[in-house]
Amino acid sequence: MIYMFTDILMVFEFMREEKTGFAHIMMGGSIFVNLGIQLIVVIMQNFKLGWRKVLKDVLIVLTCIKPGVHAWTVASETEIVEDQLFDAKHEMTFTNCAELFAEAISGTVVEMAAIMSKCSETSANAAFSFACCVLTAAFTSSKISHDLDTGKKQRKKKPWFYGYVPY
Amino acid sequence: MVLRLRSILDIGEVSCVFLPLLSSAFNLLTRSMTCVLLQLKGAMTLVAQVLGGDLVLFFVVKALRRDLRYWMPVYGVGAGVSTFLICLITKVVGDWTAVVQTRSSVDVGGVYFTFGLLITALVGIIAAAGYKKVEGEEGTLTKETVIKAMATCCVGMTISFVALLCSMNKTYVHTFLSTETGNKSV
Repeated sequence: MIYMFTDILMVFEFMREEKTGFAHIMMGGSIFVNLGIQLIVVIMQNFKLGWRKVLKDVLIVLTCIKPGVHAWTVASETEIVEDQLFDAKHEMTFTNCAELFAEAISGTVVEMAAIMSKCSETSANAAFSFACCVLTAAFTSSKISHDLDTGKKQRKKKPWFYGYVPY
Repeated sequence: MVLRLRSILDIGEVSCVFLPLLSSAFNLLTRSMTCVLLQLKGAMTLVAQVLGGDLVLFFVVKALRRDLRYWMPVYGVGAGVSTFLICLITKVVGDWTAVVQTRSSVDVGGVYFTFGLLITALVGIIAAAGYKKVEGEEGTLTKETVIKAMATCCVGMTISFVALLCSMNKTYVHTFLSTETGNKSV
């Protein structure tokens, strides 16, 4: 939520400073590419389960409540349905990767470019947004690795690969 | 000294969450700073060439090793599209945010992951060394500041990665140097 808020803040700041190119990249990356990839994932995941299920998941993605739904399905250890491509944990990983790919990485580069081009004019908002962007991306990256590595199913399935985190 | 360092780092699970986070943050900072430095030199095409060339090289190496097909049960055109998208996203996410699990042989592979961190630091240092402050332009960074910032990021990334290797379960260190292909591990 903080990350989304700071992103919106930066888009308005870029617009105010007439750096519309930066604002467009942030909006394009955050909204269109990120949501586009997430939609592809849910369509592929539920393709064989019928259009009702696909439509339901598409609406979940478009209303941006997907992270909450993922957290619930992973925490409740919901089993994979027969015709689904991957389990809830892998679906969450794909969604997190989409966020990193489309939103966090491009956002960091754009904000770094804005800061470095005129570093003496960097506002507190821009510095805070940049710190949030980097730390959120790093936290998501670390969370992906930790979640996959400590999963019971993964450790049982591939014990030679999953298990670097000692208990 | 080494034993003392290991005992400090040996706090188990906490260090295996905190150290990848640090490594990822420094890696992202190094890469984004490198791109901006190259772009400030007026070499946007150079940025595109470096990033694009890296991606093409990755796909060529995977194709030569007959390791392009992803493990998901998707066939036909869907298989090609999903493989391309997943390989692209995994490669970019692995390179930029150093997700430790992308060292899996079905993703970028152990040796490619570790080598990628070295390349990131190397290209970053080269970009910082080649930076020149534009004369008369107010507000831009001095060369000294850029070199210090880049050195901090590279050293931070290296220390956090080495510390992760020291603090993790030792039987998995070899997975960071694995040359196994995806089709052999699935």
